[in-house]
Amino acid sequence: MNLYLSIAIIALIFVVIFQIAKASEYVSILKGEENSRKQNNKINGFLMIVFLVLGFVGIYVCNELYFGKTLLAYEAASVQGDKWDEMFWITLAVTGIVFVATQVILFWFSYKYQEDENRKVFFFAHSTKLELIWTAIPAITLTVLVIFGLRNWFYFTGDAPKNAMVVEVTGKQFGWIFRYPGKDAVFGKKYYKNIDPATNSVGIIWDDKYAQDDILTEQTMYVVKGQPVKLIIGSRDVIHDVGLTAFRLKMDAVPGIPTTMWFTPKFTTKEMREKTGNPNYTYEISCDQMCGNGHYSMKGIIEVVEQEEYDLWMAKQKAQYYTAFPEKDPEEAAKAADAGGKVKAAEAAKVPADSTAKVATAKM
Amino acid sequence: MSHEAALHTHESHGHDDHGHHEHHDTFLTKYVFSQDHKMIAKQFLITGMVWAVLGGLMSVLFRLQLGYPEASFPWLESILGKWAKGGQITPEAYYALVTTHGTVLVFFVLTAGLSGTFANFLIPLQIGARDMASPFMNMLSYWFFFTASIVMLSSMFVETGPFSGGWTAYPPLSALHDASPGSKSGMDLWIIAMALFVVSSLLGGLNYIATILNMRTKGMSMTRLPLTIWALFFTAVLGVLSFPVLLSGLILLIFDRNFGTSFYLSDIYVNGVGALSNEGGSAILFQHLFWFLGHPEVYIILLPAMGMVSEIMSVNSRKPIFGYMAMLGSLFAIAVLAFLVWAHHMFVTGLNPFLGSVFVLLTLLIAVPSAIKVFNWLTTLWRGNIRFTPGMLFAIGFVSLFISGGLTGIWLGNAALDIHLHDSYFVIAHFHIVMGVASMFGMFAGVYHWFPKMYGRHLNNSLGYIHFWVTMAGAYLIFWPMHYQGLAGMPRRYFDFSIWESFKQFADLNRFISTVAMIVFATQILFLINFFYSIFKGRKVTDPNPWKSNTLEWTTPINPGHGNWPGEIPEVHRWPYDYGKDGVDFIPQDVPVGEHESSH
Amino acid sequence: MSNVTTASTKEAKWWNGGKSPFDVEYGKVMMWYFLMSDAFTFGAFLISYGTVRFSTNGWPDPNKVFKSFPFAPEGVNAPLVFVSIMTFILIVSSVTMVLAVHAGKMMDKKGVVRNMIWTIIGGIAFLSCQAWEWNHLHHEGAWWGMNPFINADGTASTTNFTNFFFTITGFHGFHVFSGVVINIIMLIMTLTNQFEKRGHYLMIEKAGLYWHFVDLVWVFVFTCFYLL
Ligand code: HEM
Ligand SMILES: [Cu+2]
Ligand SMILES: [Cu+2]
Repeated sequence: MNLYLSIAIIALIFVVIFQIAKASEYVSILKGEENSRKQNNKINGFLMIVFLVLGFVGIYVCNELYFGKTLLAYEAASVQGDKWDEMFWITLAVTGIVFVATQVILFWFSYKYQEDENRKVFFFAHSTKLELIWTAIPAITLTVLVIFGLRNWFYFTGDAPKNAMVVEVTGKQFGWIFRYPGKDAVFGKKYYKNIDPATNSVGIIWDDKYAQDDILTEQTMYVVKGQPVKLIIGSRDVIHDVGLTAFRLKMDAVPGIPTTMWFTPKFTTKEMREKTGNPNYTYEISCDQMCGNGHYSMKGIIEVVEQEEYDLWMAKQKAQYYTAFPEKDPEEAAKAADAGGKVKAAEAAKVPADSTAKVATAKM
Repeated sequence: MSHEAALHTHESHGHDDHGHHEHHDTFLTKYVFSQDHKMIAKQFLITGMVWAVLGGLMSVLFRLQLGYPEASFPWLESILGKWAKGGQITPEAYYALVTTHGTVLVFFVLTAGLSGTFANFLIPLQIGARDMASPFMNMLSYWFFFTASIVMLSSMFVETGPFSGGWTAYPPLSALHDASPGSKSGMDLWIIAMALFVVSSLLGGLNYIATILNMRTKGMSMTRLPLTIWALFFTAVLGVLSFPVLLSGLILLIFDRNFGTSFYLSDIYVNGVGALSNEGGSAILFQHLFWFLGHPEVYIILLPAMGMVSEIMSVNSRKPIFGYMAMLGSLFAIAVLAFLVWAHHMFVTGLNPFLGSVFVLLTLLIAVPSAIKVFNWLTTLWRGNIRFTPGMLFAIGFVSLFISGGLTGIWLGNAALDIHLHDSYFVIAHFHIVMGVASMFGMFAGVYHWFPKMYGRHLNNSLGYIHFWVTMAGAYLIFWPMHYQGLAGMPRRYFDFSIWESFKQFADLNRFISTVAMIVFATQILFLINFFYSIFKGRKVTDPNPWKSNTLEWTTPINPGHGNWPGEIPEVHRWPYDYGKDGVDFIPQDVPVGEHESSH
Repeated sequence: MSNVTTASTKEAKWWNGGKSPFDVEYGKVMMWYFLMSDAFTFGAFLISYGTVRFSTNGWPDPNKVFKSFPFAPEGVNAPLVFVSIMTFILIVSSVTMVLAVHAGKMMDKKGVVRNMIWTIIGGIAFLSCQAWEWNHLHHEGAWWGMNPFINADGTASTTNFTNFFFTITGFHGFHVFSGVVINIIMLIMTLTNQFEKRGHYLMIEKAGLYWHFVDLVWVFVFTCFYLL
């Protein structure tokens, strides 16, 4: 019912506006078309200035209302973010000046040079000097921005420092899987045909000697404050994107083609909660590449913690190998030994080794 | 040599009323399978308008979701059925709407609707030709577009819905039937529609190029062409050389989808299906092919608007366009550079950083010719005598929007900044302002300016003013705040932000934007009413040259028949921008150069 | 000296409107632009092929794949012989096309007819050879998504070797097929004296441009798939 009412009201408004407009046309004919045209010209010329002024007021208001809600309201959470912010302000200054100058000129000229019977138009078809000036100035300004930008670009995309911790990130519809290399600091090889959603979500090749201490977690990734983190990014199905809003970085997750990104977090999650004054603050990983109907909910969490806390957390993690083969787990084995099932466990351990051997040579 | 045929059979008089019968034309040959470039232009325009309304309506629907994520609208269920269970749009429907909105506005409205309309309408009229080089191919071009439209439309009615992976259609999402319901048969129809569209744009483009090169009237040298024609020429060249690459990309995509190939696929495990056998393909390859079209495409959309704006600004400032050669040079530079910057859409795909830096350089280089154009437009206004016709207002609006959106391009083109802004609302703001709304403004400017030539009647001015000011204010109110959302990292193509600690603070702003969007949409309906009312009931044009313009289209009768000029085609003696020269208000192109006239 | 100036004013006039620059009829302008466009289509295919091939470890050796010959005894080893013959046929058909165009310029209807017939035969012969080759490969187990051949270094190959082979040669074959159809239409139009009546054989020239283009593309396709 509400709908029909709104439609009726809208239709009514249309009819009224339309009738007024039509009437104004008749009036203008009565008044003399030339006269009313001139009058309209004046009104529109005036509106040009009004628009300019209101426009700047609007920008001011918008800034007041929303600047505080952007990331720039508080310090960037990564070393890269600081550089990004610096570049942001420089680019804003340059483009801001151009913006204000050109918009003011545009609307001011429109107002100033509105039709006036007494004005003699200035026949001004070209001026090589002017044209050279405004080719050269943008070119120089842009060169400066490019040089500045490329320095940061090569820093962002360059190699991660040696002391970086490495985490592998795998996107899937619709969530994130993280893999830590474990004690040996080397990832085991993987092959996508080994993927088993329950026990081996990234397709680790278990008989690789580096694989058995690899740790898998879902949704939440722990990293250490002040220590560079290098992410090795991949995807299981379609293209996703690891969007690290607070750190000002992102990188696509492409099936079949690993990508990398590194950053150095500056504040722990707790510190960020204080800085932002938001007790619920978390570092979120947002998927930034359309990946299907659940795209908007593909969230990951990064916990930035101090080293001690990280060590505690790490100590609690169990190698995925033992989740896949509980019999091989020393803890489980101890229990099983009590039940006298040693033999079975040993047998079970053999099977996967055989079944993956072929694949291991085929790929990677 | 059909234009000669036209010359013989259509030495027709300019009649001053519509509905007159012309020769032996039947309804079918006059309004449907017409080969008259003016009628084909109108067909493109009206089909484009239908799509614009549909596309706009889609945006209103998905903005409803973003603005009022909690609310339930029972009437939605009655329109959308299972796509709006309980009056709330589902994610499937949201993504289908977003995708179709993007595809339709970019290709059907701002490419076919814009170039199709104005290239067809203006090229023969402004260069002094009876018709296109091949009127028959021209007709085919429209009907391929029409068929593409029907196929695209029909994709919305398949059981699993239309394609819903974004207008960029990146595989593997678009290649895997099981990755998303929209990637089932909806995607096949999407590809077919696009392939038909490519054929249409090819047929049109070849025609425009050949016509401009070959059919100019006597004296119309290349440097006497109005800038509109130059812009349409470069547009056609861009289209002819970039669309085929999309076609190749789509053909490979069809094979991947349906015939078991692995061009774009490698190492994939789909939930609920398992590991696929495809190996050795590259998902990134498609993005290269797509953006090799995609970036020129944004200029295919923009250049015609630039050309028309140049023309309309000069006419209504009663002043020559400033720096004709510089305008032409910058058009050329933009057209060339358009082919060399595509990977700036791919900075975060793992692109080789060195390659990335080359694309940064080339991308920011485009800002130079863009800046030249802006400064030249501003100088054209300087010391002019400006008449604010609705067309002129939209032209001024275009320049304002082009400045605002072009400047954010400088941000995005700088890879180090893009690495954070990519695929956020900042990009949405950028391209809607610079391409979406700006070209729309160019199109409106063109319609207001050439409507008297198209239909022999005037549009209602007052409605034009309302239309302009509301749309202008609305465009900024909608898109300006989106920069702030982008700077908060808010990703595009999100159905709902409420679960995100980092993005949910904008709920009020989203509601505001959605409300403005609805008002702006309603205002466009006002324009449509004005348009269709005026075709039949508008004030009749009495002066064959109502804007006191120099270009040749105004030397034709008020309602030109097929063949455009009843007698000889006028000969051209000067460039089209002699406004205010030697104190004379305007000197049309067909006026011979006087003895004492100064040279410019 | 005076010669030079007249030449340059003449040239300037070409672009001055009222006539076609370079005296090229509009249909030919369209054809040239269409061929550029089509070159981009093929270019996109071939570059895609190149990037995928060079980002994959290993690729089958063409000498081992394309080594059969029709009617030859089983197990014959004649690497690239058959495709060389195909290529030769296509090049010869381009030559006869040149002759047809030339005859058209001389308004020599008989010459046009004779050479068009040869060109059509060449085209059909090429298509038949291609059909045989496809059929043969199919029998060996090759198709879209199926690749029975191993890499030159003995490792297992991805299916993209056959995927690209069938897609690109198929797309080219489709062009040859269209060319043959166009040529047949031209032949019929010649036989029914349409061009005689028009007073020129421009259509034959345009068909010729297309045919040479298709021929040229084959040289690239041939190089990419059979030689490299
Ligand atoms: C000063 C000149 C310009 C520069 C430097 C520039 C730069 C860029 C860059 C780098 C992007 C990619 C952003 C991202 O996805 O992260 C982009 C996106 C886009 N630009 Fe521009 N741009 C400029 C002007 C234009 C113009 C004139 C148009 C249209 C006529 C345009 C239309 C678009 C569109 C449609 C997108 C979004 C594509 C998508 O992802 O859906 N840009 N621009
Ligand atoms: Cu996603
Ligand atoms: Cu671009």
